[in-house]
Amino acid sequence: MDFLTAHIGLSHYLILAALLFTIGLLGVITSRNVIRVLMSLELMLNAVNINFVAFNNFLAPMYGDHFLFSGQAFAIFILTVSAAEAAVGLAIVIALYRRYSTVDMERFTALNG
Amino acid sequence: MTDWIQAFLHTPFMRFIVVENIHYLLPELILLVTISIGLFQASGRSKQSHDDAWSTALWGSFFAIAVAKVLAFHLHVDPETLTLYSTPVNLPVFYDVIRIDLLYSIVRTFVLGGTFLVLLFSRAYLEKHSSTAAEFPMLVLTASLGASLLAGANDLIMLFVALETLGIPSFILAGYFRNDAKCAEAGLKYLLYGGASTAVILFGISLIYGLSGGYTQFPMITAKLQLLETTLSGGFQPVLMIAMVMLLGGIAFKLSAAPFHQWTPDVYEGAPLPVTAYLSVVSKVAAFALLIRVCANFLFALSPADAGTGIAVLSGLFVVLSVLSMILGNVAALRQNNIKRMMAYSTVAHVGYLLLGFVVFREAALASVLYYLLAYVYMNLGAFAVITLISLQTGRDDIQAYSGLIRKKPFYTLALSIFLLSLAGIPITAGFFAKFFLFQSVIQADSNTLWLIVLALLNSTVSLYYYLNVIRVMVVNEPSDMVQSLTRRVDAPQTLPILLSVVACLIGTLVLGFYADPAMMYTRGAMAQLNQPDPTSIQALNQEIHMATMAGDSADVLALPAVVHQR
Repeated sequence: MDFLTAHIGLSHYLILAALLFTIGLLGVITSRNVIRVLMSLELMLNAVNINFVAFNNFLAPMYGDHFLFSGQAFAIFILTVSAAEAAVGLAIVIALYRRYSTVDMERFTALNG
Repeated sequence: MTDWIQAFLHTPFMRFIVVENIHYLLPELILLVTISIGLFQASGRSKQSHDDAWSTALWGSFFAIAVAKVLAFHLHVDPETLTLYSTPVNLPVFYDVIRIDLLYSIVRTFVLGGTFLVLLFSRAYLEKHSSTAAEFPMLVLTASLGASLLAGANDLIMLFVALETLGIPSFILAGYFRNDAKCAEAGLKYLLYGGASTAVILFGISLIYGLSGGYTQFPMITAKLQLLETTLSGGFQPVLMIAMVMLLGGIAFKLSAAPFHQWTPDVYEGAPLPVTAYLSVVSKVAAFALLIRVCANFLFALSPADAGTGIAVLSGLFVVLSVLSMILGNVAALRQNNIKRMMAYSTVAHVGYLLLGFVVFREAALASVLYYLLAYVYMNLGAFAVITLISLQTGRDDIQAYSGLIRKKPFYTLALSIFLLSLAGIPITAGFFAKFFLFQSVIQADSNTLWLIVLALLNSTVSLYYYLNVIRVMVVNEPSDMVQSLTRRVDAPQTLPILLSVVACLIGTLVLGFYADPAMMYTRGAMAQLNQPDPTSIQALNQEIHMATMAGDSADVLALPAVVHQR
């Protein structure tokens, strides 16, 4: 445990978040499966959460006699909102699945774009 | 009776509301109450309860606009000094999460007005598609709540929550007819692109949060970033650069600026027509208000326009977005056969013109951007209202269905022609003055942008072709069988609200044209307020620096100048 606190600093968290974000972005761009795209979106948002919590942990300013936890509050807001977004996304996917019997994005061809 | 009111006004609760400026959020509170009541009514099964919910939504949004108008005109602009009198500037609400200023008041009024007009012309359309449920207006109102709060956001968390309050109902609305393949696909596409762009914006925001040292309020962040810039001689930080590029890129996605516009034509074609109108007007206005705030707080405050390579790079980013949007939008609109797709590409082109105002990094140009937005609300919504009317009667969206419409429906033809001419920028309409003011202010701020203005003018000429083409089809072509079968008699009472919104937009388009100068005065006043130094946050920052210096704990804080000066 001492090793962790002594050697892991802010930059490690930021690199982890940047990597996760990139993986998520690649997943959104390259996946054909809608469920996977939604999962990759969540990955991107969670990368942002890591950023916020890490920044808050290392840089929290004082406000009067206590620390400001706005970054952690922000992370909770992101969790909540991303859950709502995933719910809407899955509902639309179900509607499309009923029609096409597939979640492959390439098969959704009603719009020619 | 009056004693009773006096006593009520002097209760601690009312005092709290007035002291904390909460009464300035009355339009949003009315919307919130309307949504709550309407959802209760809409949960009933009978047709009567859905009718009730619809009228609740219409009345609620009407009252919200009325109150917003009163609050907006309560703020008076002094024409000489462009400052406000009778009401203080920059009122903080809810611990400074929202700031009440003129930009917020103006944008809020127009967002709510656009919402009311969209609701007016959506009911008949939904009933035609055998969808009588009253969730639709509630979703629209929820999205508008987000849109109007987005214009006043003064805090990163508020910004994000408002953005998603606008976004999530919009995703549902875009896929509202879930049994229709096109519509559900439009919803999915909008959700995926919208979600990804939100994630990108958030990543940029998280970096800004880190750079500011853990603050979420805009004035604090601005002050912190200014500090960073003055102390680190490199000027513009590379991390800030990355953050700004991600933030601006994400917003460009929301604005459907090229090259991030691919989702626009598909979503606009697939979504129900009123939703398309909503997305292309209300969402765009809110997103531009956000962009104006972000630029004013994080960019313009940092460097004067003549210094800093980072600023030059970001200005170049706006140039690229603007030029690509204008050219791609106009060229692609030329060969569209479906009027919804044509309007989608026309939106992309207009976003291109609007982004020109951000190239020069001056508030004066932003005032013209705001005026352009207001004109755009009326002319685009009006065009969509007429398109909805025609679509209701012919059931088709392709331009050929409009052949010879003038023989049967002269008023529709006249109204659509005026809106399209205004979009093309023909004089005496609001669209002309919008373009005129925008181009003039950009070139006044920086004469190196001459080539951009020439390009924009050439593009408006190109746009004239496809707008006039619709008018030509309506006026010159022989009527098609479908148009032939339309009757000339007065419309059914169902379409009366739609006609009402067409007339309102016509009046708006012409009045904003005739009274362009007073309107510009208001928008200039709004921009003059934007970047005023904020005494409270500067004081707080100085306090913090002072304490850190006393404690002597951090070397880099010691290196900062002892006092932050006001700009």
